[in-house]
Amino acid sequence: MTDPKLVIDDVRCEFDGVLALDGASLTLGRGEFVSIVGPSGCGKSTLFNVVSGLVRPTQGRVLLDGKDVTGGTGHVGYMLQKDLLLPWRTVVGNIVLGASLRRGATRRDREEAATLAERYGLGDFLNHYPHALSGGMRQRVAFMRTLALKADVLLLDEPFGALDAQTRLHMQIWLLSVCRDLNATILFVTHDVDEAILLSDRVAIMTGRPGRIRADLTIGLPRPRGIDALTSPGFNAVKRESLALLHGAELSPT
Amino acid sequence: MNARRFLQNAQRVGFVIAAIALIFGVWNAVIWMFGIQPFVLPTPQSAISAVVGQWSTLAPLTWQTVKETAEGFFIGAAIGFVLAVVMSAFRPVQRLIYPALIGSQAVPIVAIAAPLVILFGFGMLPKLIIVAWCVFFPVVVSVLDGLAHIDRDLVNLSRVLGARRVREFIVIRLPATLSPLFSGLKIGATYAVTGAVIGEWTASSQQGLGTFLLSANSSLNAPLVFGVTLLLTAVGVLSFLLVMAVESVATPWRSRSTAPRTLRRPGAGRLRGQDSGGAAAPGTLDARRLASTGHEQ
Amino acid sequence: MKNPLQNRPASGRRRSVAWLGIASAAVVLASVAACSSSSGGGNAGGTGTTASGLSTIQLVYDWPGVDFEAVPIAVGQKQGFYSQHGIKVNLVIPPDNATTVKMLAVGKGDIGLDSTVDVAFARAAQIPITSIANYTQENNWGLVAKPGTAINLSNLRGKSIGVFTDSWTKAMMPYVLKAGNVSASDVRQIIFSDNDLTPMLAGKIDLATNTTNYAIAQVESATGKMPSVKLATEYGAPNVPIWVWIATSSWLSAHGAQARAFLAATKEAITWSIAHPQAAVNDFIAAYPQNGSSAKYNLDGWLATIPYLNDGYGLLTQRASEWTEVVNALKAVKELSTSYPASTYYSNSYLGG
Repeated sequence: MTDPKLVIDDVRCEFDGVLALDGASLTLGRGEFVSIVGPSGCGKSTLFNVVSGLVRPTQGRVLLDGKDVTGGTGHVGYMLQKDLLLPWRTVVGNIVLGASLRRGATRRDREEAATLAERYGLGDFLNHYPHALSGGMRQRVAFMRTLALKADVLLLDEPFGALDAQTRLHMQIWLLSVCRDLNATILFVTHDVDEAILLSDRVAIMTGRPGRIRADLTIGLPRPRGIDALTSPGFNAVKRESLALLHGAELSPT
Repeated sequence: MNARRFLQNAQRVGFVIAAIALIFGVWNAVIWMFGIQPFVLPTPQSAISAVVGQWSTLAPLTWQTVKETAEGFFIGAAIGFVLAVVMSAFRPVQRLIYPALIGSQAVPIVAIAAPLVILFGFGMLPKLIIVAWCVFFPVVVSVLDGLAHIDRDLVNLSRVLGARRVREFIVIRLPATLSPLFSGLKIGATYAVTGAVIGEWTASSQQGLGTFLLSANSSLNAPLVFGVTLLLTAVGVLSFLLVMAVESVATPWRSRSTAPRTLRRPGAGRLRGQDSGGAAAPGTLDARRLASTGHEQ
Repeated sequence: MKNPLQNRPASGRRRSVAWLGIASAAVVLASVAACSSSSGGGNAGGTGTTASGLSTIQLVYDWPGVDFEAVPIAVGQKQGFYSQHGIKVNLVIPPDNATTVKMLAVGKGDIGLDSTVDVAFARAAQIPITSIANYTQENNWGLVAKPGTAINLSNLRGKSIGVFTDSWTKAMMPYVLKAGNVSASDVRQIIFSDNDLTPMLAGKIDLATNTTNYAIAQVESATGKMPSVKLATEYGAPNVPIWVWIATSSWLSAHGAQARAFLAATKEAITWSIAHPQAAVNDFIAAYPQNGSSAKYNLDGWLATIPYLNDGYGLLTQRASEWTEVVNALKAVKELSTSYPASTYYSNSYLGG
């Protein structure tokens, strides 16, 4: 790939004698949406923490736009299953959290946050506190907080995992439409194969601990995608292939 | 909507009045049933009328005791808060002084009162120290707990967002202490009055309700003694309620859905309508859900 | 998934009910405590009989700490004066300096030691207390200063004066203020619960108030010198007895013989203690080691008390004029609202048994 946006180069992570990641490598092109799928405990979140700079790998590098950013923070946007909204801040206040933490939020920041909120359907809730919002709304605010950083690379770690199935589906469709507007490079972690296939350009399959990227599947489904993509024939083909790669010999009848 | 709020508040007040009336009723009934003599347990009516009758004397004394309570309370709260923040930031400091702080509460106040008076004389200072002594500990414990229980992931998030240590403290840690702080303050408020009275009993140059209590006791004036006790109780309860009121203003997110006007920052908003419904992005499930429940200011 | 918009904070209803519960519990507790102390009021008391056939008398002291004024009591117990009169005396210490009367009134004591002023207050509060004998016969309360320091009444403004919260102090202080031509707000009255002489000697307060026997005992033990004293009687306070023996009228009507026995034996004990002060004090220290003071202090104190025990009318004997003066003095300083004829406060009929 020429001129990749994000390169994860042979990352090894060992803690307390446990090898969490064993030479994981992955490359993301500009504007690509890549999901990482793997079984529980395979090290997805560790890889995530390495890319975001929270954890320094025992070995390996992370390159952003060609520059080594291993172990450094502040380069990527970041979102977890928990919305981590500050209960004492309003929707706008939470969206500008990044600015608040770096240099203090300005009026301009807040105006941009308000615009962002309006664009994504929360224009009536600018001054609401998080506890007054539903789970889906809160995750949207968290996402907007991530967007407000204007980082090119977004790391999303099972952001819809805590939502019920219906809301999750709606958030996935919403994310699809949002990504159409942005040109962000997104690394998405999930254990849900359907979700990975629906959202991504590529799906990387991770092995169990110690984690490696075992396979890299290109999702050929056409964009823009909507809810019918879930039941298209192409979807099932890709899903079959992914499941085989994911669970392989374990689940096929003998 | 105003009428409904009014009725709700009226209902609450009604309950409180009924509760007080019930207590007084039981009180009188007990006296009557067991034939308790008035100098052992006077009726609440006689206690209250004794206080009302002596109000011109009692008013300045009450003010004195309230002053001691309030000043000591603020000092104790400030000390407690600072100690908690310092201990949370520096582990070795916590290990060093926390046991001492716990031990300080085991010391009976009446034992320290006398040496305090010898050291600091008969003015306000020993009383403030005693009140602060009663107040600071619940504040230390609750704020320290609050700081300790900040979500690890939140701290990670702030680091990933590129936060500087100081800003992380101001934006994330400090506001997280507000709710636990008020828990501690509420407990401290109820103990503060007792501290003030004990301070006055030890040796006092200013006349407060505590010293008056001793004097009324020596006149064998039981209604007045009980009346002043009720007055002190009222001061304690009012302190508690006052802290609750401040809490609801200082932590509006605990009781409101939206930020009060005064706290809204510039740029935060062109609000399109405060009432129910609202034009959320069409086609989203949440918009429909919201339209049916409605939300309030 | 619950709708967070329906999440309202706890309402006042729950709070009021909680208050109701707590307050009711508190009243129930108070009434239980009151019940256990009020056994029908008055005469059940602790009067019982010991194995050897002696009647027990619960004697309630006037102050929450036993001191040398109890020397004759110790002598009466140890030298057998009480047993010779068929009684056994138990000294009971009250929780504070204003509860002796109440304890007698609810039957927790039979006879008490208290101040004349407390008797007047008790009667005004409808508590039927009778004084059955004087203890000390004169008013030896006054201002106390360091040895060699002159006490100048015209110089009281701004001075700090140590006071106690008992009724006698309350009755006497107006005389001090009047003599110094100052009001209560012109001086700093510092309230002590236990001892105002030590702070005075340490210079923390300018003047202390106390009775001379305690003042002399304390100051002599601490400095070896006599304190400087200005008696209240020198500036207008009535010269009336401070301490008397008291009992409720209902107890007296049921146990008059024991009252007589107690007073007769106590009189003998006092006489003996006057004649043998050192031995008397030794008996006291042996019987009440918890008094917490040195042997010298107790001896000095007892010796300083002796001069006030007999005003020439006989040990323990009361006179109506004393009571008239007490009542008038209290009324003059507006401390007493209800008063009765002097003869109703006391009775000498239990003396000379």
